[in-house]
Amino acid sequence: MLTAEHVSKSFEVAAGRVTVLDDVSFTLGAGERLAIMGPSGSGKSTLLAILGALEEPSTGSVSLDGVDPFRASAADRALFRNRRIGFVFQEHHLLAGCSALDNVLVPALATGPVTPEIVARGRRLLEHVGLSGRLGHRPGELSGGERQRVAVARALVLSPRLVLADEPTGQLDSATAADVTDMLVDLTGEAGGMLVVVTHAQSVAARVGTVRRLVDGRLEA
Amino acid sequence: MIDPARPQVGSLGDLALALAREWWPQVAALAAACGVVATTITGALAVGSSLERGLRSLALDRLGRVEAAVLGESFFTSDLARRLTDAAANGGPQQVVPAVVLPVTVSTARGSTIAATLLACDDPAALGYEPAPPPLTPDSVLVNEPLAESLGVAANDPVILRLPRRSEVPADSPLGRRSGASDGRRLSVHAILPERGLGRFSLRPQQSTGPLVVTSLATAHRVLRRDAAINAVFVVGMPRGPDAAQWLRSHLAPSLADYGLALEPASGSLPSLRLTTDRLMLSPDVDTAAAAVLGPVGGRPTLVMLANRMTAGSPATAQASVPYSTVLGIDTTNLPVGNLVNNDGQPLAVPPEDGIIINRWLADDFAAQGRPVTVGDPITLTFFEPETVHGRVVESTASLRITGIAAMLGGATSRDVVPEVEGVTDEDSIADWDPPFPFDASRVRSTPPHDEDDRYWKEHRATPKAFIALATARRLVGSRFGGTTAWLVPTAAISDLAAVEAALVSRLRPESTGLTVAPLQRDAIAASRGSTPFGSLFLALSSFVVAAGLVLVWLVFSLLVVARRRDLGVLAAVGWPPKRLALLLVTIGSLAAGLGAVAGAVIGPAWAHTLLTFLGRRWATEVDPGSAAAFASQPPDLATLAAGAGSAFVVSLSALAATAWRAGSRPPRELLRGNDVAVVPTRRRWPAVAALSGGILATAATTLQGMASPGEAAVGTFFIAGTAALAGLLAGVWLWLSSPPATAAVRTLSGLARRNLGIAPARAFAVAAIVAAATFLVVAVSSFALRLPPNLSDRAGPTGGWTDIVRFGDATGIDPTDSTVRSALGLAADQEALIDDCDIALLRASGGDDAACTNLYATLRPTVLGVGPTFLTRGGFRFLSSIVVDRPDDTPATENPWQWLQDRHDPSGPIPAILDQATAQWGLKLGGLGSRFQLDDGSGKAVTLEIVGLLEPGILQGHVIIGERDFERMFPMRSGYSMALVDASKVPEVQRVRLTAALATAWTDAAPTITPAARRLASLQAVQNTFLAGFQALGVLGLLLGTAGVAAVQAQGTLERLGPLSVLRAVGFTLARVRCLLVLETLAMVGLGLTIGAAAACLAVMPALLTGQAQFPLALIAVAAGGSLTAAVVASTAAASRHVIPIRPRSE
Repeated sequence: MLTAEHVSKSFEVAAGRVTVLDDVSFTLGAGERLAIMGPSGSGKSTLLAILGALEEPSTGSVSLDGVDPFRASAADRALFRNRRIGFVFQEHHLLAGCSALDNVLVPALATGPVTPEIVARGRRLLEHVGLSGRLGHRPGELSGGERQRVAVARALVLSPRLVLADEPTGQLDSATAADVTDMLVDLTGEAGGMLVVVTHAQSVAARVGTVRRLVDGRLEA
Repeated sequence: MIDPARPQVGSLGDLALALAREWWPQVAALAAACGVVATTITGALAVGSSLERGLRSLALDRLGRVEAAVLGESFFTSDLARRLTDAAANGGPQQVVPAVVLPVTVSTARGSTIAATLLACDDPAALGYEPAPPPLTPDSVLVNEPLAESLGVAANDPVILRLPRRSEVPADSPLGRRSGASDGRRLSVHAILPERGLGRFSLRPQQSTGPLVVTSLATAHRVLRRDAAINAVFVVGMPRGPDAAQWLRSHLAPSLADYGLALEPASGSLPSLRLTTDRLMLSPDVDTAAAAVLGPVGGRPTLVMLANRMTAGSPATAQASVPYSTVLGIDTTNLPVGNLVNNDGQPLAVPPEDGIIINRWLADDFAAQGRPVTVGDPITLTFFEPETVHGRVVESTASLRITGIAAMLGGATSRDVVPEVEGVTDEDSIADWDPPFPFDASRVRSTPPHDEDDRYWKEHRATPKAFIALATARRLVGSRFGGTTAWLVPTAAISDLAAVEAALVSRLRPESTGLTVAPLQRDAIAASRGSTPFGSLFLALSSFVVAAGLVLVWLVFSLLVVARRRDLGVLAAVGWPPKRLALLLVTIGSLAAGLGAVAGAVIGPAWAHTLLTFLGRRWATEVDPGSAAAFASQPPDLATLAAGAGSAFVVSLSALAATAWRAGSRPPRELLRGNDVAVVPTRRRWPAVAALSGGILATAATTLQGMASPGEAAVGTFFIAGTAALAGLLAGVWLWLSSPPATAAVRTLSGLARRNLGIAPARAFAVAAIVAAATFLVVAVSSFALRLPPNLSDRAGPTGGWTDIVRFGDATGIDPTDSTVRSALGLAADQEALIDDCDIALLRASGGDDAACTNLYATLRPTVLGVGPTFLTRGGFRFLSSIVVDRPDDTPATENPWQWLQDRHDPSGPIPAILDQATAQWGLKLGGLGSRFQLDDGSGKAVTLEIVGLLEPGILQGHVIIGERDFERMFPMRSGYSMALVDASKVPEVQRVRLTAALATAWTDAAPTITPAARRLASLQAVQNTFLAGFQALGVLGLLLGTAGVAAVQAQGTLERLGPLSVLRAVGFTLARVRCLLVLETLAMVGLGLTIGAAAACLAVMPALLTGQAQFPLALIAVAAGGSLTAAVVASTAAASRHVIPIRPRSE
C-alpha cells in the first residue's frame, strides 16, 4: 500500500517562499492505479518525485508497504527505489551508448552484476512491449515510441511494487501514447503493482483508471 | 558477431566501458588532461633516472673494465703488481695492470701549458676501453681531445711532459721538498684519443673530461728517474664471485719496499741491520710494529736531527760553531752498531734530558776554533722546527750540557744511523748539498786550509757529531710524521731475515701508509646516484605543472559530469546508490587516467629528453664546460616509468574522485533537471571573504616585515607577501564571480558576458586561478635568480674578497709571497712586484670530492680544507649562523667566527668545522649548526666534526673547512698545500693577466689551475639560475595548460548553452556578435588570471627589482600572455562556429 499523509513541499526563492504541494494525502492499495492531472506548475511532478523517494517532502510522510523511505539513509533510499519503484519519465532518458536490452537491465546493475534471471526478464519485457526484434538496437536507432517502450520495460524489470510515470506519453502521438499507456497498465497489473501516472492527457488518464486532479498544490477529491 | 539477445552490459565495468565509448569526446579530453599529469610526473622522474644512468654510464666509461685498484699516496714497487698477477692465475681477475697515475703539466714549444693527468701503463688496451687505444711507441704519448684542443696540438707534434720531482719526505718537514722542481721530457704525440673510452679516463667520477696524457711505464720512469716504481695497480675483468676490491684486499701483500721501508745492513763496528723509510721519519704505525718485532731481538729506535749549527760558548765569550751536523737521539749507548765509549774505552751513559754527548772530532774542532769544551760545558743546538709553519721553515735553539765525549770508535763512527736524504747524504761534498731548506753554504768550511767540514764529510759522511737522549730528540724534532728515523738491530739476533720482514709487514695496515684499495667501479656507481636527487627536484619544479594538470583534470571531469548529468540522474532515480554511482564515475575516470598514464609513460621520456637537453646545454655553457656528456640522454629504467605512470594514475584519480563522489551524492532530481550546481562547490561566501581579508592582512604584514629585513631574508619575505597577495586576490575573484547577479538589466555585451561567467563560477575561477598562479610563478621566481655582486672585492661577500682560486695537481709548499723562497722561482722582477701586491692564503686539502652544487656526482668523501692563520685572521665571507662558544677563560668573544677554528679550546672534543649552508644541507646532508658528523681520516679511522658555522654560499662551497692544526692532526700523512686563495685586488685590472702568468710560473711544478673567483662564483650561481630557468619554462607550460582549460571550458560552455546561444542568433545577434560574447567571457577569465598573477608577482620581486638583482621577465610574460590570450580567442571563435550554434534552436 502506498500512503501519502499531509505531504507539503515548499521552496525558498529570491522572491520568497513558494508552496508547491499543500497537505496532500491519499492511499493506494495493492494493484490499484491512479492518474493525477492538473495544470502546469500544479505540483504533479514534485508529488511524483516525493512518492518515488527522489525528493523529500517539507512536511508530511510517505510510506510504501509501511516503509517510509525518508527515514533511511541516502544509500538505503536508493536501494528502496531500486527494489520497489519503477520510473517512466517524460523523456526516455535512455543511455545512448547501450542497447535496448542493456538499458532495460541498467536498474539491475545498481547492486551488482546482472543475473541470468534478470536478463531473461528484461528480454521478456521487451518482447511484451513489441521490441523483440530490437533488443540490440541503440536508442538512436529507435523511434520515440519505441524508446518510451524501452523505458517502460526498464521501469518494470525489477518487478517494482510501485510504478511512477511522469508524462510518459508527453512526446508521443496519440496512437503511440495509447499503446504505451496500455502496456504500462497491463504490465504493472500483471505484476500486481501499483501505478501512478501524471499526465495532461485525458485519454491517458482514462486508460489508467482513477483520476484525481492536483490544483495549486492541493489534491482535489 | 554480437548476439543482440545477450546483454553487452552485465556489470558496472561493462557499463563504464559503454558509457566511456558513448562519452568519448569528454573521456578523450579527460585522458589528455591525465596524460599531461602523467607526462609531467613521468618526465620529471625520468630526468632523474636518465641522469643517473647517464652519470653511471659516464663514470663506468671513464674506468673501462677496471673494477678496482690499489692506489698509493707514494710510489711502491711493481713487484706488488707481479704478486697480484700471480695470485690472479687462481680464479682472480683477468688482468692486473701496473700503472702510474700522476698530476703533470704538459706544454708545447709555443709555451702553452696545461695541467693534466698522466696515465702510464705498458698496455692501455688491457684496461678494456672501447675503442681500444692505439699501441704506445717509445717516447710518445697519447693525449685526449680536451688536452689537444687546449694546447692546439695534433698527432706527431712535440709536447713537453713535466712531472714534479717527488720526494717521499713530507713537504711539511724541513727536509721535505717545497721549492718547485720538476723533470721534463720532450715527447711526441702519437695519436689523439677521442673523448670516449680511454680518452675519458679518470679515477674519480666527474662530469667533465679533464686533459689526459697516456704514455708507457718505461717513458714515465725515465721522466721520473725511477725504475719499477708505480703508484696504481688496476684490476680488470673480475670473474663472478667476490668483488674486485674484496679480492684485492685478500690478496694484497705489500713488501717492506712497497711501504717505502728498508731493512738492510748498517755500517758499524758490530754487524747490524737498520730499518729506515724513504719518508725519513718512520710513521707511528711502523714504529709500533718495529717495537713489537725488533724490540724483543735487541732493536733500538733512533732519531736523527740536523743541527744547522752547534755552538760552544756564548756571545759574551769566545764562540765556536760547526755547521750542518747530524745529532742522533738514542735510548742506549750500547747501540747495535757499536757502543759509545770515551777515549778510555769506558762506556758512556745515555745523556739526561738536557745532556749531550759530542764526538771527539767535534770537541777537537771546538778546541781548534779556540773554544775547547769539556764535560759540563754548554752547547747550543740551532735546528729547524720539525714542521714548517704555513710552508716556511722556522729555526729554533736548544741549550744542552756536555755529558761525555765519545771516542771515534764503535757506534760513534757508524754513518748508516742516518737515513739517506736526497740532495744531502748522496752528495760528495758538503759544499754540493742541495737541501730543501735554506742552506747557507758560506758557513761550511770547505776551502783548505779551513776545510774541516768538508773533510769530516768525506771521511765520515753524515755520521752524527753528537748524541742526545731519544726523549730529548723527540721533544725537539718529533712531529706528526713520527719520532723515529731508524731502528737498529743486531744481526746476530736475527736468524731469518725474511721472517722478520714478514712479521713487520703483517703488523702494518696498508691504509696507514697511504696504500688503499679503491673499489672504483662500486664507488662510481654509488656516486652516479647523484649529488642532487634530480628526479625529486624536477618533480618539485614540476609540481606546479602537475597541480595545473590536476586542476585541468578536475575541470574536464566536472565538465563531463555536467554534460552527462541527466544520464546520471536516471541511474540515481532507478536506485543506484550514491557510492555505486560515484564508483561508476571513478571507473570511467580511471579508464581515462589509465590511458593518460600510458600516454605519459610513452611521452614522458621524450619530455625528459627535452628537459635534459635544456639542462645539459645550460650546464655545459654556464656551470661546467665539457659536462654535456653527463646529460646525454639515456633511456630511463622501466621501474621509474612504471612508478611515474602509477603515481600519475593515482593522483589523477584522486583529483576526480571528489567530483565523482559529489556528483553521486546529488539528489536525483537535481541531476535530472540538469542543474550545474551538481558539480560546483556551494557558493558559500565566508571562506572567500576570510581568504580575502587574510590575504590583505598577510600581504600588508609581510611587506612591512620584508622592508625591515636585510638581503636574502627580504627576498623570502616578499615572496611570502606576494603569495599572500595572490591568495587574497584570487579570493576576491571568487567573490566577484559568485556574487548574485545584479538586479539591474543587462545593457551591454560585456555585462552579458559577466552574467554568463557567474553561471558556472567554479569553472571560470579555475581557469583564472591556473593562469594567475602560472603568471605569478614565472615572474616571482626571477627574484631568486643570482647575479654576481657588484663589489667582488667585498670581504663580507661570497668571494671573501679573494680574486683567484688556485688548485694544485701536486701539493706544494711554495708561498710566492715568501721572499726567501721567491728568488728560486724564476720570476722576473716585475712579476715579483705583482705578487708582492697580493695576499695569498695557502690551504691544505684532503683528497676528496667536491661537494659543491656544480658536481653532479654524489660526494662520497668530501674534501676537507685546512685553513691557517693568514686566512683565519683575515676572516671574510658572510656567516648565516655561527655557534656561540662559551669560552672557559672569559676572553671576550670575537667578531670573527673563523677564529673558532684556530682557538679550539676542547682538544678532546669534535673538530670544529665551517661549511656553506648549501653544502651542509643539500650536498652532504649533514644538518644545521651544531650537527656532528664523521669523516674518514684517510687511514680508515672515523673522526668526528661539528658544524660551528654556516656560510652564505660562496666560492668555498663544497668543502668542509677546519683549522690547519686540526687538519694536520686529522691527516698526518698529508703534506703541502693543495689550494691557494689569492687577493689581487691591489693589482690593477690591466695587470691581472700578467699576475696570473706570474703565479702560474711560481707554482708551475705543482700543476696549478688558476680560476678567477668571479668565474667560480658565476658557475655556482649558474646552477641555481639553471633550475630557476627550468622552473620558469615549466611555468610557461602551466600557462599553456591554463589555456587548454580555457579552451575546454569554452567548448563545453558553448555546447551546454546551445539553446540560449541559438536563441540569441534567432533574435538577431549576428554570429560575429555571439563570438564576441564568447571571446569577452574568455578574455575576462584569462585576463583576470594574468593581471592578478602579475600584480602579486610584482610585490614578490620588489626587493630584487629595486636592487637590480632581478629583472621583470617582460618578454616571457608577453609571450606567455600573448599565447594564452590568442589561444583563448581562437578557442572561443572556434566554439562559436556557424555549425556549432544553429540559428534555430534544436529540439531534443
